[in-house]
Order: sequence, then structure tokens, then C-alpha cells
Amino acid sequence: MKANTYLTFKLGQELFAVNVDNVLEVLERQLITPVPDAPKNLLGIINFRGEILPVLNTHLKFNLTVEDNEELERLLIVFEIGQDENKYSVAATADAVKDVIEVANEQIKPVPENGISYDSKYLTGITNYNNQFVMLLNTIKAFSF
Amino acid sequence: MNQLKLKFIDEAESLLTSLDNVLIELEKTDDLQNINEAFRVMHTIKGASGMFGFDKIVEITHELESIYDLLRQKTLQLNPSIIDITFTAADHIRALLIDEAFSNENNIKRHKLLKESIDVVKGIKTPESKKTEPKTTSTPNEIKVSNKPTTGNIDKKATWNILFYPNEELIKRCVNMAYTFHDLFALGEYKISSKPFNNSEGEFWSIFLVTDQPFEEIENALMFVMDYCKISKVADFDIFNPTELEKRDEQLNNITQHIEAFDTTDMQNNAPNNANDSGKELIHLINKTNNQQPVQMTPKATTRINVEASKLDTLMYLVSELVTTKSELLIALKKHDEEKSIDAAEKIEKLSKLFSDNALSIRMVSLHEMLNKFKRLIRDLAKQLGKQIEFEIIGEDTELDKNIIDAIGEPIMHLIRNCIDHGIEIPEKRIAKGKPETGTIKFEAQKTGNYVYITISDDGNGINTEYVYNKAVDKGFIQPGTNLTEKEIMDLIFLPGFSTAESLSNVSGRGIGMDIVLKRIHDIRGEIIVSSTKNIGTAFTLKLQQTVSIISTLLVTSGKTTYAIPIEDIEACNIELDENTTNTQSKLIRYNNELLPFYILKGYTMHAEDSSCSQKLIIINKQSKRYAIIADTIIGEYQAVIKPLGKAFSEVKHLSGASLLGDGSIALLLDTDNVWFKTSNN
Repeated sequence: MKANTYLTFKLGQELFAVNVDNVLEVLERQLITPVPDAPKNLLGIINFRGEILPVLNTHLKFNLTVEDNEELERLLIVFEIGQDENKYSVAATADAVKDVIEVANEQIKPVPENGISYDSKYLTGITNYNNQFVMLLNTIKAFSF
Repeated sequence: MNQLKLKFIDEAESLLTSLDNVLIELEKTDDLQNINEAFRVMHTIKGASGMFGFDKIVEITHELESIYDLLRQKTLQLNPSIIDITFTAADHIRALLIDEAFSNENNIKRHKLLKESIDVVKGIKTPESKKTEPKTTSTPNEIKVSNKPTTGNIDKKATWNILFYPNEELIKRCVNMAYTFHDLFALGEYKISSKPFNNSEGEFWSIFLVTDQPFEEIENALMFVMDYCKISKVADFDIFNPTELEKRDEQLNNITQHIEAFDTTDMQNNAPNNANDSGKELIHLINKTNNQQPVQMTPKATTRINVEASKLDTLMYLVSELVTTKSELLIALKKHDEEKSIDAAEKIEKLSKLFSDNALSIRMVSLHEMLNKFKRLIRDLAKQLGKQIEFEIIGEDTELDKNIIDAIGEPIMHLIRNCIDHGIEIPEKRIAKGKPETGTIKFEAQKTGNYVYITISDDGNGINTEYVYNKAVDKGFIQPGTNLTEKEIMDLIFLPGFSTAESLSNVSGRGIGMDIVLKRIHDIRGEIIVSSTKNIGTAFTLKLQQTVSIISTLLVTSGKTTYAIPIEDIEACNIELDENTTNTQSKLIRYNNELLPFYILKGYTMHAEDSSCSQKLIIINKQSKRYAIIADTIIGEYQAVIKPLGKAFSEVKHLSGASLLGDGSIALLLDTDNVWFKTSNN
């Protein structure tokens, strides 16, 4: 039985999960420098260990409505995606980080084709954890530009 | 041991580059010194590749070495096919260095062909009789290599055994492995284990040496690595199968007689030509193999830098100063001695400036190595296109940051390709035009102030402006009848998708175009200027910064956003913006009785625009484009360490990077070229 470890986090009302292999760090109250004229779903840039990283507005990218956009106590998850020369890092917004969970491959169910209010192309599947549905993210698709 | 092997591969590659250059010289004049040099390179590579188990390289270099030995002794005359074969062999060795397991089919094929053609050149036998080729006996773990043809006095020979224990320390001392044993092998005949053995003291190689030289000579040869060697005398005679040697002696004599016979008989013209022809056929075959899977010749980014020792001494001195100053600061802080703390802090500030200067100077690399690679490329291309080309180099000692050298390699190669392919005419045409038969490509580098200018020029066709103009009209880049100056027409060649080659030649019409060349140069904040005169030639001048990582900038703010503007692009700053300077109707700004377009820096503000504070004007002058930037405040000068924004922001053209400020916040670096397109009148 093959299983992977995932980090779950909240975005709006939904619970999402990403493979922990792709997660570098979770940052709190990081100073974000906005970049004028940047694409809409980029909030700006941050200084992460001396490197400049783009900050992705995950809510906007996944087409999730945010009630309080102004003073959102933002949490950033820093992802490392890709291999070798194509490796890059990106920070993405999240509302809360929940758990680290183990999900076996057969526990993953396919994404229903319609009826989902946000962009389902970034998902690899759905699983049930503690009676809650968790959306498993395809990190490469979800966090590439 | 892996580290030693990597070092060997590195060394072998630089040896091969030097071989390329020797061969280019040999092609011009048959010079004994260069033949000796080629022999020496072969010999060095052979010895070292044996140590690291590159058996196939040993085979090839051994064969080549014998050719050059014959050349040295004047029993063989240098001819173009020998040079061609050596070039192919050099590429072959390059391929083998990567393909250690000898598994690539092309390499296997090329290896066989190469050996056959070498045999033909040696005149020992024609390819038809290859079955009778006596195989050199070699036991699986040992390779038999003999160095000099034995010259008498076998009686005096003794056999020595040298055990060589290299270790980490040796690597640190930067001992050149390839040369270490060169002197030793020159003493006589040797046998060397192809793989290191293992015992309680670590890995070691075993070398057997048969020589008539005394022990002192061996000691001298191993001077630098004596500490890692154990030498013992095995016997007072040659323990290795002397009959084998005699056989080889006989063979050598036969070859000599063979060649002499040709010289004296009436068949003089007949037979050697035959051998030559079949040699040529084989070279064609080899070239065919090469074309199928060409050996990679793209200039690779060098991963190692040679640094002057004095620069490292400075670095060490700075480190010790820093450590002392740090302790001073700590003590002062503990004692709450404000005065001393400030002193120490100031000292650290000075030191950090010296550190950055030192680090930058270490990164400076001369153009030498890059140019060496070009020489071979030009020779190959000229030959392929049937053109005669002389490559002239001026100022190859000019230094540039390693990052820049790595970045300009490909664009410059492309410019040179263009010169050879489109610029220089074929010899007949040149004669018809009254030019010398041989075309010249000139590479000139010179440092002026903070810039390095590199000019690549040819004395060929020049750019046909009429043709370029018509082509641009055809492609829809410009409207027919547009009035353009000569210079503007020439700049059209940098447009994406503009390729003037009538047919896609496999030399320059492939892959990257002039637009990519321009982009690559822009990426490192450089500029290209093209000038050309019909039938006189074309020149491309690159204006490059010596270093890209740190630039002087002016920090300004707009709202809460901080911007950095390269100081070299600023003509004037700190001009107040008021009713007199603005001209809302024409969307221009008045500056010293001139009207300039402007760009208002966008700032991120939490609250509504605060218009009460007076804004400032900064006048930009970049490549004769002049415009004004409007900012809220000017902070001052800042030495910015530039970091890339990454591909997420590739669409944000007016920014070219970002820099971390002392308080952890980030300043955005303006791309003064691209801001121009966002000004009011564009």
C-alpha cells in the first residue's frame, strides 16, 4: 500500500492538501512588497533567506471569494517545485495551516467533473479525513506561472 | 577518488583545447616545436587516462602518439589528413570523457574508423589487410604502453615499482595529475594499473617503470609528489617480455624502410597516393559519423576559476581583520562603550566594502579561455564553407565577471558564425572584388572606465541595407515607403523572426537569431551597436559592464514602494515638480527649455493619494533616449546587489530585478530601456 504525506491548510471554507516534499517553510506575518503592474494573482515579492520569491494570491488563483481582503492575517507557505535546473520556489497565501496527514493512494477519489465552484484543474483528487473532504493539489499545476 | 577523476577530466579538456590551437598553427606551418607540443599533449592525456580507466582513450592517444613520433623523426611528412584525423580524434576523446563506459554506438563506430584511418596514415597497412593486425597484448587490469622506441643498451635497464597513494591533501594542493607523471613516463617504459588498488592505507596506483636512468632521476621526476609515493627496485633488467619489444622495434624499422622504399622507387607517386586516398575516404566516413551525432562543441560554462594567489592573500587578511573587529565590537557592546562600538561598526563597514571589492576581483576572468574555443570553431566553419579566414585577436587579457563571460559566449559565437557565413566571401569572389584571398575576422576587447567594449568585425560583404529593407517590408515589420536611416535599417536585423539568410544554412540560420543575441546582451545590461559598409565589412560592438551583480543605484520612493534606478542612466535628479514644469496638454514635461515625455512611478498606497507633498523629477538618458521619471521622494545613492525577479514576473518589463535593503525591505530595479515604452508619448 503506497501512501504519501500531505500538509493540509485552509483556504476560505475549504481544506486543501499538498505533498510535504514540496513544502519548504510556513511563514507568518511576512512583509510583502507589492509589485506595480504585476499579474493580478501575484501579491508581490518577499525576501526569503536572501532570495526574492513571488507571492501567489492563492484565493484569486483558485477563484475563491475572500470576505476580508484588506487586513487578512496572512500566512505564507513556501513551496519548492520542479527538479534540478527547473527548480524554483514560490510563496502562496493560506488562511490557516492544519495538519500533516498520511493518505494512501487508494483513499484518493477522483474530482467530480462539475458542480465545483472553483477551478478544479489544479486538483489531483479528493480524500476524506476526519469526516472532512480534503482537496489534494497538483503543486506543479497550481503554483506555476 | 571521484574528485581526482573530475579534476582529470577538467584537465584533459583544457589540454584538448590547447591541442586544437596547436593543430590550427600546424595547419599553417609545419613546425617541429608544434609537433612536439602535440606529441606532449597526447602523451600526457594517455598517461593520465590510463590511471582513471579510460582504456579507449589510451588506445587512441597511443596510436596518435606514434604518428607524431614518426613526424618528429621526419620519417613521416605532415599532411592535411593527419591534422584532420587529429581533430577528429580530439573530438572523439572529448566524447569518450563523457562516455566512460564506452556504450554510445556512435563512439564505438567512430573509434573503429579512427583507428583504421590512423593505420592508413601510418602507412603500415591498408584497411583491407586489417585482419593481420597484431593485437597489443593487454591483461584485463593492465595496459601496455610503451613510450620511446628503445634505443640500444637494454642491459643497463632496471625495473622499478612505484606505489602512488593520492589523498585529499593532494587535491587541496592542486597538483596537476596529468603532469605529475609526465616527467616520470619520459624516463622510459612504463606499465600502470588502470584502476586504483585498495589496501589498509587507502587507494593506490601501482606503476612499473623500466628505465636506464638512475634512482635520482626518478626522484626528480616525482619531486612534487614524493611524499605520496613508495619506490622500490624490482629487478636489474626489463622484466616485461623483451621479445614483444623487439617485435615492435622491428615493426618500426619496417615502417621506416617501407616509406624509404616509396621514396626511392618509381612508384613514388602511385602508392602513397593510394594510401592517402583511402585515408581520405575514411575521414569522410568519420565525418559522417560525426555529423550524425556531432560531438558537443558549445562553449560550456566553466565551473572553475583560476585565481591569483595575491587576491586570496587579501581575502585571508580581510577575514582576520573582520574576526578581530567583531570581537572588538562585542567587547565594546558588553561594556556599553558607545564610542568604541561606533568605531568598530565603522571599521566593519569599511571592511565589507573591501570584501565586496575582493570578491568581485576574484570573479574576474580573462577572455583567453573563451577565445581559445572560438579558434577551433572558426577553423571548422571556414573549412566547411570553403572560405579562408584569419582570426585576429586584440586584448584577450581583458577581464570580465565570470557570469558575463558565461553569458556572452553563445551570442559572440553567433556573431562570429554570421561573419563567416554571411560576411566573408568565398576566395574567388574576394579576388574578383580586389580583396585579399583570406578574409579577416577581428576580435577586439578593451576596457574603458567601467565598461568593456568588445568588437567583432569582418572585412566581408557588409550588410545589404536595401535587401534588409525589402525583407522587412515583405515580413510586414515596416510599411513600404517608410523613411529610415541606414542605422535604423541595420537595427531591423535585431527584430524577432528576422532572418536574412536566403536558405537556412546549417551554420547560422539555425536556432538563435539576432533577436536572441540582443536579448542575451540586454539581460546582462549590455548594448550592441552595429555598423557596416557595403563591401568593406561589418562590425558589431558590445558595450558590457564589468560586473552585473552589484550596481550603483539611486533609491527613490513612490507611495510605499521603493525603486532603484541605475545611476549611470541618470542625467539629473532632485528637480521639483510644479506648474511651470508640467504641460498637461502635450503630456510632456518642461526641462531646461526642452520638452520630455515622462513616466509616473506607480506606488502602492494604503490610503488615498496624498498629493500635498511635492514630487520630484529624475531625468533619464539611456542610449540617446531621454525622458523624465516622477517620484515622490529621493532617498539617495545605494550599492545594490541585484537579484532576479524570476519568471513569475516576466511580463513586468519595466522592472529588471530587485535588491534587498538594509532593513529587510525590497527595492525594485527599474529597467530604464523598457520604461521608455511606458512614457506618456508612447
